[in-house]
Amino acid sequence: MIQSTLIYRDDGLPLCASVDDDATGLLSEQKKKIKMVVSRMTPQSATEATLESGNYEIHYIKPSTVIYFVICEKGYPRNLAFSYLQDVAQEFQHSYESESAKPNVRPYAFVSFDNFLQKTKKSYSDKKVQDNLDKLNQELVGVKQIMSKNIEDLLYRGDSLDKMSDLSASLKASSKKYKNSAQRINLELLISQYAPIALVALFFVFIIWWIFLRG
Amino acid sequence: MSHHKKRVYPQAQYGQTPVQQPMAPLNANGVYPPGGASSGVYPQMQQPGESQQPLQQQFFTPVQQQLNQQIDQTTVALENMQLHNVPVVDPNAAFYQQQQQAQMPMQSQVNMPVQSDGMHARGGKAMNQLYPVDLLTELPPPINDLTLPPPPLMVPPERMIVPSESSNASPDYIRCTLNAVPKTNSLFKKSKLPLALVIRPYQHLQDDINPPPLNEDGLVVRCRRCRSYMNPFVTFIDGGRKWRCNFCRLSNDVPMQFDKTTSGVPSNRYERNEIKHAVMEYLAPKEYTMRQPPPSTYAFILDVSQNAIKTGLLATTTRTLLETLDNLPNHDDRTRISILCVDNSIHYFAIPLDEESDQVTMMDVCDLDEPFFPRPNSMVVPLNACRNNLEKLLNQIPEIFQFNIMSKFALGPALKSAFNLISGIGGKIIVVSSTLPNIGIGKLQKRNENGVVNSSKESAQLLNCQDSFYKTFTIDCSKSQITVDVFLASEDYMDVASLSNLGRYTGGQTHFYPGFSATKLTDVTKFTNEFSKHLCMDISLETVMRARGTTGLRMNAFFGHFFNRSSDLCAFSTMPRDQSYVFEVTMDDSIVGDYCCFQIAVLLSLNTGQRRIRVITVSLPTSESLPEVYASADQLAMTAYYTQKAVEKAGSNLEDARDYLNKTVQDILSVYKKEIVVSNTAGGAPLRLCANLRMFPLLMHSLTKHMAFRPGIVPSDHRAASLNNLESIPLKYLIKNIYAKVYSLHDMPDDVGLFDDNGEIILPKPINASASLFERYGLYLIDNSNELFLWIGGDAVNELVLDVFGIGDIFEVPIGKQELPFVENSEFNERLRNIIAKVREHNDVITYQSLYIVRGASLSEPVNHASAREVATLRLWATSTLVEDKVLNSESYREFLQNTKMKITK
Repeated sequence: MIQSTLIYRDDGLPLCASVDDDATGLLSEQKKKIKMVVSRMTPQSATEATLESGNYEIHYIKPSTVIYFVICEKGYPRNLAFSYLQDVAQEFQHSYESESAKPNVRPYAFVSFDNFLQKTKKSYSDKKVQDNLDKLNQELVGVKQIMSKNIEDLLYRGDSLDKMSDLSASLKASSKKYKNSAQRINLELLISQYAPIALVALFFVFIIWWIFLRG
Repeated sequence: MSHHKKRVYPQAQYGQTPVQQPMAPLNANGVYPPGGASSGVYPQMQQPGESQQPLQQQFFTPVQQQLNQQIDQTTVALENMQLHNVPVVDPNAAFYQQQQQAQMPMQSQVNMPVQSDGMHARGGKAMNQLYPVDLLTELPPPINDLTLPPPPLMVPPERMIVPSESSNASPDYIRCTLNAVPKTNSLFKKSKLPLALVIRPYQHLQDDINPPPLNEDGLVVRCRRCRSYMNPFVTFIDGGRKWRCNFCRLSNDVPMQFDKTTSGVPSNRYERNEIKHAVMEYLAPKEYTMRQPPPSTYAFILDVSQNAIKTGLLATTTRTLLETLDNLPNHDDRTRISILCVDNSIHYFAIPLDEESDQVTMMDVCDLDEPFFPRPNSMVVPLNACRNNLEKLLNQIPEIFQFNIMSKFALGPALKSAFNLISGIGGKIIVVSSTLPNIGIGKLQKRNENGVVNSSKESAQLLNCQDSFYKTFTIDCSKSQITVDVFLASEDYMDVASLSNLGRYTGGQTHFYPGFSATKLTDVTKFTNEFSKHLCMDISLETVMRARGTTGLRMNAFFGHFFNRSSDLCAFSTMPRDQSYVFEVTMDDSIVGDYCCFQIAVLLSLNTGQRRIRVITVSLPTSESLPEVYASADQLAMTAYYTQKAVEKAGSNLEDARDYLNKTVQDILSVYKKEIVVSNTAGGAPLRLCANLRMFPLLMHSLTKHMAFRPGIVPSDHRAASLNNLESIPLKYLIKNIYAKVYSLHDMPDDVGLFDDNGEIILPKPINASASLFERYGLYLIDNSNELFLWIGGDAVNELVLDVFGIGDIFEVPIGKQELPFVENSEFNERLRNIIAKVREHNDVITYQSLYIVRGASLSEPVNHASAREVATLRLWATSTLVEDKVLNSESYREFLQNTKMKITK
C-alpha cells in the first residue's frame, strides 16, 4: 500500500505532501526521517533509491531539482512504487515546474496537488489495476539496478564520520599536550641531575680562587 | 463600515491638520520626516531635537500668541509637566469646553522649542487628564459614552519608528483596560483597577475584508531572548546594524536580508510592514510548519431521532447545508466533508467520487461501545470530487428518516467515531441536535430544576457539567486539532451547561435555539441564517496564540473558547472569526521605561493552504500617578474583563458573581474618593468618578440584571446559554448585550430610516433603557444584540398602528416572534423595515436577531384575552432589558448608586 507522498525541493523546502490518515503517528516518524534525508542530500547523491526504514520502504526519485518521496508498506512491489513516482513527477513537472523553481516559493505552496496524489494513489491501490500495471511495468522499469539501502545507515553514516573526525582531532590535541609535558619533564630531570654537581664545582673554583689568588 | 473607529490621536502630534501660523514660521515644516527616504539613509538616526519639533504645533491666533508670549516669560522656570502636549481633540465632547480653557496656558510652549525640549528630556510626558464628574447628578446617565472610543493612547510619535495611524494597534484588535499602565505593583494594587487585554484577532467573518498588510519574503525577525517579533516600537542602534527589543531591552543583530528584497535588490527598511504597521502578517517560513497545512474538514453529526424529525430540524439543516455547499471555505479545493446520522445507532455514509459511481451507501453500526468504520476510505470525502453525490445524499436524508420513531440519541459514541474519522487531519465536528443525549457514553439526564433554581445550589446542580466525558473528550480533540460546534434546537431541556463544554475548550461555539419549530418561519429564518453564516465563515486551522508583555508584565489568566496548552500558549484547533478573548495581566516587577508594550502573535494555517503569523503590537504609556491611571482607564474593556471574572464565579455561585460585580464598583469608587478627590467638598457629598469611567457603574449594575446573573427563576438552559455567550462575544456586542440600545421610533426625525449620502440607513439616536421614558402611545425598538423587541405602547393611536402593521386595531396585532408585515403605501412602515434591517446587519458575527412584537399595557385592554399570559411573559422579558429600572425585586440604577454611596461613606 502506498502510505504517503512527499515532494521536496533540493534546498529542503517542502512543496507538497499528501493528506494521510495517520492516527497512529507512525507515518509522521517516517516523514521526519525523510526531512533529515533531504537535508543531507548533495548533488552527488543517487537520483533514485529505496530506503528501508522499519516496517516501511521509502522510495525516491530526483529527476531535477525536485525530489519525490513515497512511503510504502514493506513488500509493496518496487516497480509499482517507482512507476507511481514517475507518474507523480510527470504531472507535477507539467503543472508547476516553472513556479516551483522560484526563490520566494512558500512552504507547501502546491497543496492543491494533493487532489492528484489522492487520485493516483487510489488507482494504484485498486487490486485489478494493480495487476495490470504490474504486468505492464515489469519490463518498463528495470528497478533491479536501483540501489537499496537502510535509512539508518544513511542517516547515521554521516554521524560516524563526524565522530571519527572528532576523535582524531582530540587525539591530535592530546598528543600535542603529551609532547609538551614530556619536554618539560626532561628538562626538570636534567636540572635535578646536574645542578648539585655544578654547584659543588663552582664552590671549589671559588675556594681555589679565594685561597690562591688572594694570597 | 461605519462602526470602524480609529483611536483618536491628538491632532497636533501628526501635524495632519493644516495649521495657521501667521506669526511663527518657525515650525512650518511640522510634518514628521517621512520614512520613505532613499535607501541606506536612516531617518531615525537624526538629532533628538528635530524629531520633537512637530509636537509644538498648536492652534493660535495672533492675539492669543501675544498673550502667550507674556505668559511665557513667567512660565519659563515653571516645570509644570502636566501641561505639555495635552491633546487638542479630546474624544469626550463633553469635556471639550474645559479642554479649551485648559489649552490656553499650554500654547505658551509654541515658540519655545528649545525650552520645551529640555522639559521633554526631564521626562515630562503628555497624559490624559482627569475630569471628575458626579454620578448622582448625571442621571439619567449619558449613554452616548458607550459608543465612544477608549481614552487615547498617549504615545508620542517619536516612540515609533515610522509614525502613522497604523503604527499603534487599533482598539478593534486589542484594547487594554488601562491605557496608562501603573509603573509599580503597589500603585497597581492601590488603584484596584484591573489590567487585562481584550483581543479580537479577526474583525470580519470573511478574511478578504480589510486584511492587514502581509510580508511575503519569509523573513521573520525576532528577539533572541524573549522571542518577540520586530515591531514599530523597537529602536535601531549602532548605526542600524542592531535593534533593541522593546520588550526585554536586549540588543539583537539586524539580519542582512532586512534591507533587501527577496531578489537581493537593496530596499528601504522603513517601508517594511513590521516597521510601519502594528497589525500585520507574515507568511510563515518552513520552520513554523510542523506538517503540511491540512484541508478544512467538516464532519456533521445530524440528529435523526424522532424529536429532530418532529421539529423539522433535520430537514432544515440538510436544506441549509445543501444551499451552503457553494460557500463553504474551499479556497484550495481540498475541503472535505463527512456526514453521520445518529439516533440509537450510527449511520455512516460511504460517498463515492462522482466519476466512479452515484450509489451512496448507508451503513448502520449499532455497537455503540466500540463503533467501527465499515469503509474508512470513503466516509470523509473531498467536496469538489463528490459534489453531486453529496447533494443527492443531503436531499435523501430527510426522506430516509422521515418515519424514524427512535427517541434515543447517541451523541457520545457519534462524537468518538467522528473524532476517529478526522483525527488524522483535524477540522470541525458540527453537531446539530434536538434531543438530549440519552444512550451510550456521555448519557445525560434531565435535571430537576424545582427547588434548586434561584437558590445557592443552582450553580452546583444545574450549571455544572453533568458528565465528565464532555470535558475529557475535548482534551483529545485539542491534541488532534478538532473543534466541536454545537447547534441545539429543541423545545425540551437540552442541558446546555454540559454540552457547551465541547465548544468551550476546542475553540468552538454553542448555539441554542429554544422552542425551535420548523413550522414557524421566523425560527427557520434565524437558524438558516446563523447556520449558513457559521459554515461560510473563514477559519484558521492549527492555531496557537501567545501574548507577550514588557519585562515585568505577565499574562496569568486566559478567558475565551480555547485550550490553554502551556503556561501562556492558547491552542485553537480552529479559530473562528466571531469571538474575542480576554487575557489578564499581572505585574511581577516594576516597569522601568516610560512606555510598555504588549504583543499578540497568532500562528495559523489558512484554508488557502498558507501558514501565517499575525502580529498585533500595542504600546502604552506608563505612569506613576494614580489620577493619570484613572484618567486613562477604558470602561468598556474593564466591563469585558469583569464579565469574564463574573462568568467564572457563576460556575460556583451566582450570588457570589453578583456580589463580586457590586463590590468592584464599590472598591473603585472608594479608591477614587480616598486617593483622588482632594477637595473637601461641602454640601451633598457627591459620588465622584472620572468622566471616562462614568458608564462603568451602570454597566456593572446592568450586568447583575443580565439573564446570566440575575436572581429569580431563569430556565437553566437559558442561563447556561447566555453565560456561554458572554464568554466569547466581541466587545461591541457585549456592551449592547449588557445595556440594550433603545430607539424611540414614533417621534424619530424625518431623515431616520432613509438612506444618507453614502447609501447607509440612518439610525435614530438611542435613548436610555428605562421604562420611565416610554410613552404609553409610543413605538420603540430594543436591541440587546441577541433579540430585537418592537414595543408598541398600549394606547398607541390607530393611525400609528395602521401605519406600522397595516391593521387598524391594536389588539388585533399579532404579538410574539414575528416579522414586521409589509404595508403598501406606508412610508413609515418602509422606514421601520429599513431600520430593522440595518440593526440586523452584521458582517462580524453570525447572529441573526429575531424580532419580537410586544404590546404595552393599556387600560382598555380586554381582560380575558386568549393570549393574555403570552402578552404578560413577553412584556416581562422585554422590560428585563430595560436595566436602569427596577426589574422584579432588584434595585434601580439610582437606588444602586445611592446604596453604593452609603456603603463607601461608612
